[in-house]
Amino acid sequence: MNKSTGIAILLTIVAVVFQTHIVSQVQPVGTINDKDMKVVDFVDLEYPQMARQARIQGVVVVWARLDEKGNVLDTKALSGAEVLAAASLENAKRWRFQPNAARAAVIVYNFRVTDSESKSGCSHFSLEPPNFATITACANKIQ
Amino acid sequence: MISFIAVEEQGWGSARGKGRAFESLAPRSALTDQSGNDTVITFDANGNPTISSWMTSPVTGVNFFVADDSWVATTPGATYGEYSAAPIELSTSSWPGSDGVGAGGASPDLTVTNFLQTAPNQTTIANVMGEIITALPNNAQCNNWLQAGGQSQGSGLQQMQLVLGANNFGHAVIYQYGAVDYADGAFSGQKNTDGTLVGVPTTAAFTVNDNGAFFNQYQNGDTTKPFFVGKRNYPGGSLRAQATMLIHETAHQITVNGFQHDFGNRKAEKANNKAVDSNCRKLIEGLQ
Repeated sequence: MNKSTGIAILLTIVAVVFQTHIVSQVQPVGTINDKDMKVVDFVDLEYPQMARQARIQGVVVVWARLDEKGNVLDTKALSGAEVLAAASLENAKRWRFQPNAARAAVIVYNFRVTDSESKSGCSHFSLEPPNFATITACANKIQ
Repeated sequence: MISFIAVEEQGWGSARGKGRAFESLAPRSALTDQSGNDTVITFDANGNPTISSWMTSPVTGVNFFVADDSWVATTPGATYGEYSAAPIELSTSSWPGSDGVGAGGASPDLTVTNFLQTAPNQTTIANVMGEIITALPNNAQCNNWLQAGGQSQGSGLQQMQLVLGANNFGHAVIYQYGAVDYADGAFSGQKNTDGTLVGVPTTAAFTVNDNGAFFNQYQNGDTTKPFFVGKRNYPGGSLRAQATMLIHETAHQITVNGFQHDFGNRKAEKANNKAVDSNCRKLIEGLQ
């Protein structure tokens, strides 16, 4: 094996390792079309208490890997504040979707602190199909 | 809420209680005549007073206390009787609320204007928070005490890190009953007890009073009215005073066990200040 062949093999190995590393780091690939994503069942999410206390709001985007029946196998936060993401990831594991070819789904959690108090209490959850969940927290009394 | 008084209030405040049907007005024996009659003041549901003469015999040395719509008369002999009365709606009555001493006091409304997150005041608040965040892990007593209780979660350290990181605090001019408020140094939350909004952004975990003891040594520049903070009477505007106030507010936000709701309640506020001092004095006095 001459020098140039050796370098080529080495570069190939590096490229394969690098590519494998990239793939393992970025699991969600491709686009999941909204029309392929239908929620069969979901669970309300309470505004995370720590975030409510600190008045943290924002959006968390969760990618979910599905099995052939549409159950969530595992979840990954693609963006969002840590204090909001942890609760979102746990919540997403309890959702169920219609099976799709991509075997994946995305849920967008929109956390908002508000002035008002809903009839159902200080934390309110609503889902706008196909995957947009809004969680609101009311104002705290002064002390 | 942490508040500071330059001049002690005397008797009942002139401001009216609002929004609560049951206030702690205490009819009491004002005078016992030669026939053994007690003069007491009773109130109707609208808060209108009536001066009455009650026979104290066989109940002598009577004192009357009110709890919601029941009055209880006690005597040195430990006998007591219960009397009923309609609850008083103070918000529409002509009578003043209590001065906030003791539980069940009136709940005064706060409003703010000019809520800002600008230097130099915002920087000062952030710097004090930073100092506390640095010191807390090295002060086990304060750190262990400053933990969430009840349905709250997390620690004071986490809470301060989150609030500081998100810049979810500010400073403002605070008003109480429409007048500039010097006594309340800072408060946590966004709405009054009666549900009306204070006027801070929904994202403001706490607000510091521009005219209070956090930034000022004296009330409105009047050197005869110095601010003192906490159980140790730290001078207004000092680092110790500032740290005391921010720890106090953080304890509210995470509902530390035993830390009381003290807005409009001086007794609870005093107890809270004592708790901060007992657990965090070393941290506060160790800050440079």
